[in-house]
Amino acid sequence: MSSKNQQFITFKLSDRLLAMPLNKDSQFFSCEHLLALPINNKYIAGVSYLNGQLVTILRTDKFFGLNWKMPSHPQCLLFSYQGDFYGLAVDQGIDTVTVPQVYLEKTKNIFNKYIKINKQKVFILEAEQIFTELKIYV
Amino acid sequence: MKLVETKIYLKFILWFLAVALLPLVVLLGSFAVSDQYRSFFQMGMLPANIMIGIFVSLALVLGLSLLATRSLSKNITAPVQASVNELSKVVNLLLNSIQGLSDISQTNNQISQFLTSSSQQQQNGLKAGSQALSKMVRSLVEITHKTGAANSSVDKANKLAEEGKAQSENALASLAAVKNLLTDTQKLSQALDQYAQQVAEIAKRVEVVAETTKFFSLNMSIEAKKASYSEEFNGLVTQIRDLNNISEQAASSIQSLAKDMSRQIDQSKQSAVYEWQETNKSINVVTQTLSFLTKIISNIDSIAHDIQVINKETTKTYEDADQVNKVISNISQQSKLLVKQTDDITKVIGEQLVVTRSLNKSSVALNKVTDTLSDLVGKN
Repeated sequence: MSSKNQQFITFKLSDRLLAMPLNKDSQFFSCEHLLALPINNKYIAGVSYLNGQLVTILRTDKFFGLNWKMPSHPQCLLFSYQGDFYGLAVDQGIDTVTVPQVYLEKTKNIFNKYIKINKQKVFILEAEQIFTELKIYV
Repeated sequence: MKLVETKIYLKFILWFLAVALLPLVVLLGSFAVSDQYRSFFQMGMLPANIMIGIFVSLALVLGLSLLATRSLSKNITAPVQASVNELSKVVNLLLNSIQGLSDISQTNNQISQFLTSSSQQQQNGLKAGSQALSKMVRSLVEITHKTGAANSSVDKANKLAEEGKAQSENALASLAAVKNLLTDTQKLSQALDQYAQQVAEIAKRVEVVAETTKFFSLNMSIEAKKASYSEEFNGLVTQIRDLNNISEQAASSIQSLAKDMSRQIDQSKQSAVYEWQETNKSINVVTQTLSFLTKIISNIDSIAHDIQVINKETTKTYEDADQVNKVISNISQQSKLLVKQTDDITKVIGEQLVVTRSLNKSSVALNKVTDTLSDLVGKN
């Protein structure tokens, strides 16, 4: 448990409230043109184009094994990792929050950190964990 | 016959004289010859010549009597025999005639019985025919009444059909007006539909604005958190969020309004279409009803005409039946007379039979007399 004030962006996915640490490139956008890729990776929905940048759109529901039907123009949360831009497909962006404490769920191996918002556990999606634990590019 | 009787009397007289005189002559002759044969013929105290004379006389009398009888009987019985023969023939003829008469009487009896039964049957038939004719007349009268009633009913039906036709024409005009109205309503619905579509498009645009505003507010909030801007900026972000909420609410309201309008317009369009279809169906039905009513009217006219013809024919048939009734009545009277005459004929035949029986009895008696006469005169 860390006790420094941290900022997170909250969003909803299939009625689940999730959070992602505030990134310098974080922003919400509507993915109007999603180009599917001829690759066999369940986590990657395709690529899009935003403000002159290629953005890889990720299937956030697959991280948790959720039964979620992705719309044709999903809302996405942009973040950057190692110089590349990615977008998490979400249902709806909620808000940005500042929390004093991050908790650890010992029963989970991946995405086991969470914050409390209105006494509700909101699990955190970290970019590092997305690419190292899930091994998207293996 | 009298000549024959005279001859018989003459012969009888001659024979009587011969019979009477000849014994005397013999007796006298015997006296003359008695002296020679006296001893041969000596019988008692009587003189022999007398005895001989008596015997000879008796013999002569007997012989002559026999001869006379035979001769006379021949003269008498011959014509009687002939008459008896004639009589027998006549009796036979009479018997045959009587038999023939009896046969004729029987045949007449059969014929009269046949005539009687035929007359009775004829009378019965005429009675039945008269009854049937009466029933026919009653039926004709009934038909006449019914055709009269049917005629008046047909008139009423005709009037009703005419009224129905007029009402149907009015209904058709009303339905046509309703159809026009529905068509206008459909046009209005189409116009409203276009408006609703436009409103829906606007609502979509407002939704896009709201979404964009939402993104804007979210990203503004993110930027504000990133850069830790001042309270005024936070206030601005808050206002933008409020704007976003209001936009979302407006978009949602407009969308729901557009949906409601669209739904109501669809409903009214469907109901207008349905009413238009129903009105069309009603127009078709009324048009068909009109055509049926027109056909009914024409059929009623022809039925009325046929009823009038039937009425006339029935009246005529009634008059003809009356005449037939009179003819049957005449025939019935004639058959009654025939029956009476047949009865008279039967009586005559009865009397004929009685006469035939008496003739039969007479011929039987005559036959007996003939037989007796035959027995008397001897059969030749």
